Amino acid sequence: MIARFLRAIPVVAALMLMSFGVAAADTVENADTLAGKGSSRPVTGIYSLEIGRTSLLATYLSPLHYTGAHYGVNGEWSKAMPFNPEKVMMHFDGGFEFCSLLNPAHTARMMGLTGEFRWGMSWRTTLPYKILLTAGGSVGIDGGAYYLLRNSNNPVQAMATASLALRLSGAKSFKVGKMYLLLRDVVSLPSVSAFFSPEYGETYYEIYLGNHKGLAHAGWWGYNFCIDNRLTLSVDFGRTAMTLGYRFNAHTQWSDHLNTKIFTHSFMIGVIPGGLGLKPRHKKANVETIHSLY
Amino acid sequence: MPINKKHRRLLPLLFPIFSMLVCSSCHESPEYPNNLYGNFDALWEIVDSRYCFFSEKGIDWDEIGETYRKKITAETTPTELFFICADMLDELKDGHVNLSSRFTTSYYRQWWTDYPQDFSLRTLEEYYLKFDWLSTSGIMYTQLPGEIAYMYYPNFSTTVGETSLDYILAILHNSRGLIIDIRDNGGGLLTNIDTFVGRFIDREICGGYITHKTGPGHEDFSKPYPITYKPAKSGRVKWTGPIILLTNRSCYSAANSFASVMKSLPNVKIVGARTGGGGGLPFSSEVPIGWGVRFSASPVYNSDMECIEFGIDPSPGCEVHCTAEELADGKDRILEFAINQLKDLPLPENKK
Repeated sequence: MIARFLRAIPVVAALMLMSFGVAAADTVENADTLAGKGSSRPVTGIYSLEIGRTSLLATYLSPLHYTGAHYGVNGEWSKAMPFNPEKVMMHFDGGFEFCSLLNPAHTARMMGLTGEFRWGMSWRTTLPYKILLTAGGSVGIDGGAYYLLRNSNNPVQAMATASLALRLSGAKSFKVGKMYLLLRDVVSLPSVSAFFSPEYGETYYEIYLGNHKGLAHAGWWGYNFCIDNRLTLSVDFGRTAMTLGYRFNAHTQWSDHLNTKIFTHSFMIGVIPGGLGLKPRHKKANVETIHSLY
Repeated sequence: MPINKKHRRLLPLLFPIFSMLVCSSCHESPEYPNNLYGNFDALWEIVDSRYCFFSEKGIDWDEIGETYRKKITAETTPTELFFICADMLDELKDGHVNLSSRFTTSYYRQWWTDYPQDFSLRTLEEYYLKFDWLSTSGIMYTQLPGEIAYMYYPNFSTTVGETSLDYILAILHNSRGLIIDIRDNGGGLLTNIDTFVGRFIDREICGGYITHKTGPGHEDFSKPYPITYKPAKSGRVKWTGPIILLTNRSCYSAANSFASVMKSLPNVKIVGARTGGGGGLPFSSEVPIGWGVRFSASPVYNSDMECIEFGIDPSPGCEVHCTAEELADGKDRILEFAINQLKDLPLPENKK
């Protein structure tokens, strides 16, 4: 079962990428225009780099907390849906992260490489003070490995999770002087999941022999909790926008007496090609633009 | 602007978010301070929760912990602590247990130092191989007088290539029997066992079982999982004739497992001395000061579900030893015993 699950991951990822690739082909300059309604639904893409610090406890590998540098590259694309563009949007998030960690005594190094892809849809509404609130769900996969260089038959904490997540966001646009700004917070909460974990003292050799029993686990918030929070402030320059932000990501797993806790704080800097549309620009006549972020 | 009724309905969303944050902190792991007692206790607990042979060896780990903890005083230096911890680990009498620091690695050696060596590489090379052998994939091989095939495999850490094994078995095929000498082989990669055994079987066999800890209790083990071996793919050179495996006390870990699997084959005899054991796959961990610890965590059993931690006995009537004096005089009694077992056997029909 676990082998089938692992084999399916790249297929699902490819399908998700392809589906969003079609959507992402639209740009601000070449946006959908709804026949008869005269509205445009541009794809807003945010491409960001992040650097920060990760703290990791993976008791399969070590009882000690490892800490060190974290690096990531992320993309976030969103777009109003054609069937109810004012109320429904879809979004795709993807990224890769790398970390290099040391134990407290700095005598052992751990390397981590992970990736995540999520696709979903959200319903949105405008709260008082023109705060845009979105709430929805997403389906996603994430996986990777943390490799402790000096371990023998337990050298790797492999991570693989498929999950359904809640996704909430709030956004508020405002102007300071001549600067058009967008303050935004996005929270993703994977809730129901299936994840991979070897048993307490199970070696990868035994898995290699074919004992796949007990490797796949059903997860909920009590056993596989994850939260990803991104707080960003974007400055719209018109044809492009820059975003700065802070990201907090926490992922904890508990299965078969194995405890895994990964906390990452990082600073984000990104670019939004095409801008946010906050700064007034020449508009096509009779075309209403529906932005997904505000 | 007041919050209207529609937006008030969103408030219940806050409850699951709050409960998630609470749930995420439910599972705590013990934390140990980086001081004398913190490091000692961390080491003791790692072994207590993960070591796999307490019952088989009749070890009272609580008592051992108390005994050695009393040896720590306020004046104990980190170096002294290392040796207190190392001495405590030696109580496990396990060659797979090490404590590693930047100045040394502890190692329980009595599993082989308290026994005769029964082997001299120099004697083998000089008096039996006459300094003339072929070598590939870490295997020394030749045909001994009397048309007896011989190979010496000193280390399972060297990966055995399938093609190399084809050449070896093809070159040695016109022989009455095959002697595989693994004396002084301290182990290495278990996957090499598959490569070898596949050449000696014509159907899939169960060569043993493996289990693992499922929790921190001394008796928390999974159900045994069979370790199966498949015949080498068609086209590969196989050996179906008689085989004698030479062992001594310094055969450990993967070499010990190899002896266990080979002993279950009908055409194989084990000749020499009982192997050193090492029937538990080692796990690694560490303590706050940064020392690494390695220990047996996943027990391996033979095909009769007998623990192989204490070694594999020679086949009945095949226990042979040779003294240091005999070896110095150029006499390897174990090898000669094996040669005598094979020398009168007929050559295979199609190879005469």
